[in-house]
Amino acid sequence: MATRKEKPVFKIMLIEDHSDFRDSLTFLLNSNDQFKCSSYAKAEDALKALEIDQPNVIIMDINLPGISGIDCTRIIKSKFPSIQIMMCTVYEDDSKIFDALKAGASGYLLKRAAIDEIFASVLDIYNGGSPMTPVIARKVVASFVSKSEDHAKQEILSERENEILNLLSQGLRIKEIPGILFISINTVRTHIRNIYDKLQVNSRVHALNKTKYNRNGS
Amino acid sequence: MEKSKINIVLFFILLFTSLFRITIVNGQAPVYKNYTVNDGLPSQVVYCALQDKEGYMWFGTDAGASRFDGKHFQNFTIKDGLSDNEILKINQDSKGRIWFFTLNGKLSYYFMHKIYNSQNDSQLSKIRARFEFMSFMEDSKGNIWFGGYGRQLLLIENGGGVKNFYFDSLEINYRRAWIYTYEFDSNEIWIFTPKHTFKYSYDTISVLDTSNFLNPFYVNFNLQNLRPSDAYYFCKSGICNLKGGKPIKLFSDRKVVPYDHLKRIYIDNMNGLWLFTSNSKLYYLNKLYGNYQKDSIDFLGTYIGDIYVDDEGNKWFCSTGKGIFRELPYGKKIHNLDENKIFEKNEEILCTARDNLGRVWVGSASGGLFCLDKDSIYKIQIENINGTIQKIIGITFDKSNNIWGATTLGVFVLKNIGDKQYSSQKRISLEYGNGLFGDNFTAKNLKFDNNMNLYVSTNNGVTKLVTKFGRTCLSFVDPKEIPPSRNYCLYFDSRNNLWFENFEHLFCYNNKKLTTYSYLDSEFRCEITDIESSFDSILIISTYGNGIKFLKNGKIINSLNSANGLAADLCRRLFVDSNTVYVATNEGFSYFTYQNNNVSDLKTISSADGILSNDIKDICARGDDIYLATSSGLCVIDKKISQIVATPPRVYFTSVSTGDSSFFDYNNRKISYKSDFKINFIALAFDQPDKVTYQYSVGSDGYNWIETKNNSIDFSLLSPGSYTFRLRAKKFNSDWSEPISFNFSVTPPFYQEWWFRILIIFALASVTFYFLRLAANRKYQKQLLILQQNQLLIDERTRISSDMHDDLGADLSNLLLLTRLGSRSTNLPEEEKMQFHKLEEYATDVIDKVDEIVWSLNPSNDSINRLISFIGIYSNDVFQLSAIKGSVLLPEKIPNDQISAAVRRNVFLVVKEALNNAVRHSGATNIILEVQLNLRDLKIIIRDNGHGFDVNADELKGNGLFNMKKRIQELNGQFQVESKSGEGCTVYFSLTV
Repeated sequence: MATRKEKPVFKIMLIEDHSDFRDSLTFLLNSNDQFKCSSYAKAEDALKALEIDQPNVIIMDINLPGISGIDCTRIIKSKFPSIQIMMCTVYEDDSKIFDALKAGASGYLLKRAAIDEIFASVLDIYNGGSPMTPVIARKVVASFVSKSEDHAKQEILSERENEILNLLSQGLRIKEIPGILFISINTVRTHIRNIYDKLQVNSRVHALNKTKYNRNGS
Repeated sequence: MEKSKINIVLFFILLFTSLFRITIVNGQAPVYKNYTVNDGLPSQVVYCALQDKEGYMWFGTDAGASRFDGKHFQNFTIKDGLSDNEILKINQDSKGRIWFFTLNGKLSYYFMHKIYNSQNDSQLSKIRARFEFMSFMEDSKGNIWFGGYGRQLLLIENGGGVKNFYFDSLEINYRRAWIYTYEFDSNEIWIFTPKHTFKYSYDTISVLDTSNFLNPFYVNFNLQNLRPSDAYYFCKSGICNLKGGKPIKLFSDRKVVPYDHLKRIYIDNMNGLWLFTSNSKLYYLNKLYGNYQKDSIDFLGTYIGDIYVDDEGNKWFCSTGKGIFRELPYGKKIHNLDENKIFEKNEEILCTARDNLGRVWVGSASGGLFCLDKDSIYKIQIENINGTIQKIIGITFDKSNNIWGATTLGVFVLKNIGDKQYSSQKRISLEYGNGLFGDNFTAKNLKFDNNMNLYVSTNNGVTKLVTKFGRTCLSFVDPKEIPPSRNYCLYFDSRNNLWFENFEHLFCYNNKKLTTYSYLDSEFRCEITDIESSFDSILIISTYGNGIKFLKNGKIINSLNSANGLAADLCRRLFVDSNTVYVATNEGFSYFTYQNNNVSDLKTISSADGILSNDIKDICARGDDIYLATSSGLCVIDKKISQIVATPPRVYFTSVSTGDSSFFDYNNRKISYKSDFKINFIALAFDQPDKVTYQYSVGSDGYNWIETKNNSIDFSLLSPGSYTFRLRAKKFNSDWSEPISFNFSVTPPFYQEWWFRILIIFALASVTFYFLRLAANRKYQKQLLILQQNQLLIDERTRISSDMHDDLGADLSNLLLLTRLGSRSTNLPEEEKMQFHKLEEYATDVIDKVDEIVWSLNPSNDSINRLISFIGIYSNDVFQLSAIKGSVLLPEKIPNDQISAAVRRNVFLVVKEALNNAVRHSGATNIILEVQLNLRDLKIIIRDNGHGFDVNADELKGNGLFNMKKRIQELNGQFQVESKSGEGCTVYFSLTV
């Protein structure tokens, strides 16, 4: 354990009601020296333990008994905006993912993902990246179209962000975008994160909580 | 010689006896129609008559009043409100009230179908009558003066006031004194009493000296007011007209009219003056001061109490005991000589003929031979033969005006000895042949030919007057020339042809030559009764059953029968006077003009017109007089009778009845469609009321006259609607009257009323609405059920997909994770690691399949957006797993429109199949998936650059293209594959989602 202190270790909180999968994933994450994972079956328990555990990344199952993953995300993000929340889902095409993203989640993780992928995703999100699928991209576009109609002066996406979003919505993967736009994948991720952020800004909850962010953050 | 002496003596004896029998009488004999209780009169004691302004005749009897409309007597008694049943006098005032003067002195009057008396009329209740009233006068102010016996005068003022005057200053002897009133001028009324004349002026009564002209009898005085200031009266000095207060003496010859006995005078509407005397005699003075016309009219000793002449000219004689007698009106000349000083009662007349002097002779069944000269009648009685009466069947005259007669007992001749005198009858014998003579045979007819040879028809053939064996006798015409058969009629035409018939055929005989017209038998079909010829030599033949035939040159050129208007088809005799043909039949007679074979002006007269009998034996005419020999007597009728045009009758609706109730206020009445409807009416005609014809029309507009003889019309089941009933009438000799009309409406049954129809419409609408709503509700319920079922399905799909997603997905994910963890384990042998890898692949595959199932199950994915996204994700995954460079082109804007699960699933499966085909079998290096969307038209193109294949080859079926095509066609879409060997393949399909 002592030897592992050399590497930066960040805390992951897993909120998953499926006990076997929770145990498996906890085991997997903890098997990586970079992660320290605590897990909870219920959002209520997790929220109680939040102050104590102070996780950097939370992997949250969308379908939770009691407080749902989306609600939980909203709560956590309102209290601890700095915590990156990654939604965990069985299927990529889950309509709830977009709702979760709107609630403040930064990305999502497929349960079937390969082990390396899981690690990469966690690191990715910790480092500020965000995954986005065509379905999500489409919803984001629709969301911004309707919002720009409602609030013309509202913050709108930049040209590059629009470009990326359009590509995504046409079915391209994030990995394919750097080849098209001649930018690094990290830049793409940043743009996507910004898109998410702009998406969240439009939620009143977030605007309301900006002060809290300033007070409680860092 | 002795015989001839005796004959001469006999002749003179007979001549004297015949001369004694000749009597001269006045030719005018009135005809009366008698009405008795049998006709409906309440009593035969009739006191008075009046025609009211409407035209009805009123009669006062000792058993009530009676109103007569020409057909029916409507009787009124005290039960109907009369104050007394003894009605002595009837008067009508200008208001239309009909006043009844009764024996008990109480007044009552009739007005508008009701009788008023002291019980129901306040004016009448103020009257205190001592005795009966006898005079009536309405002055020019409309006040009515009633003079009464018992010294009383009653004044009913126009305004309604009632005044009683009592002249008690008259002595007690005058208790039954008469009182008459006379209007001198509008402000002065004279009151005549037996003792004084009074003057009533401005409510005061003063004595007036009229002794200079008015010298009344004590008991008998009578005054009749004709109009204001114009009255007629009689007094000791004569019959006077009092005009403007000044008397004009009209008549004072007591020798002619014993007016000492005068009781009453009556001036009729034709200025005829009728005088009633106390000795029951009635006198008539024409034109008031003209000639004395009539002696006492004797109604078999019955006293005539009153006379009234109505506007038709009928004279109504009211007798006390024999009812009412009506004399036919002036101008209508029918003299029925059925009972006279010359004619026996109902003497049967058999023949009539005109002699060369224009006199008319008739022969009767009782052997009477009558000559009707211009204004006298002679009678010669033909002697009986051995006590048997000779019925005179035919008469003819020779040039010397000797009378030749055919009777049932032979032939006689009366020699004209001048000055209307004739010898006694000489009988002509018949020679049967071989010198055998007989006097007694039946002669049927006798005619002179143009050479004045006499021919007589007998039962045994035609005979001719000849001289044989030194004596004048009848002898049969040679039987070889004329068949010896029964023979009735004879006629010589202008060419001296003898026409006759023998019950079989018509014959023409001349110069020993006989022509038989047997071919005409079918035309005559019956016995020929008479033959005459028109002035243009057309034979006119009357038949006994088939009317009249006109014969020319052996052909029937015309015919006339009852269908054409002839009185009857049984014709008896003809008489031709220049171009007028007279026909005697068994149902009256007809006469017409016959010219150029054209029948015109046909007129038929029957007993309905007043002639004695319809049974006419013979006919002849002289000037305008037509002489009818009937079985009931001789009838002389003016030819102009049918030309007299009377004024149209007055027509009234008498009552209208529906069902049991009848009413007089019939106008605008509503009648139920169910009830029978009867309209009673009358046209007032007293002369021949049976010949009144009515025409009515029922309709809302237009006149469609229907003719009837009845006095009522029954309607039943008239269709609902408004009607106008119009009626007019005509007498037999008048034009149509002006139509009278009234309106009525037939109410429809309730189911035809407007409110019921509205109700029905409303009810229908309600029912329709109800059923429509019911249907709509059911449809809605059905839809709701489908929706509920759909929702249940959706719910179920959601549950299943959710379960699979959450539980199965999580389990499988865990399985996969554990497998991967297992395979990462470094201390495992390589073989087991391979097993783990296989397990991992397997698990990944299962997860993918579950993923697809969940996707297709989840109802929230039922949108185009979701479908295209999923296709995009799926194809990206497919391309990523394979080494092929694939690109996905999606439309920029995809709406979130709902699509059905079937479309979504099938479209995805086709894309999946096509992609797999391209990836696995085509050997392509580049695959392009393109999705195009135009509104709801979806088009998907999958293009590869592989080695391609022959589309038409059989292998098509093997690589699933068939299934793909089938799936798209099930969705009504179009599926196409374009491929050639070595040139890649393009699969594209389009459908409306």
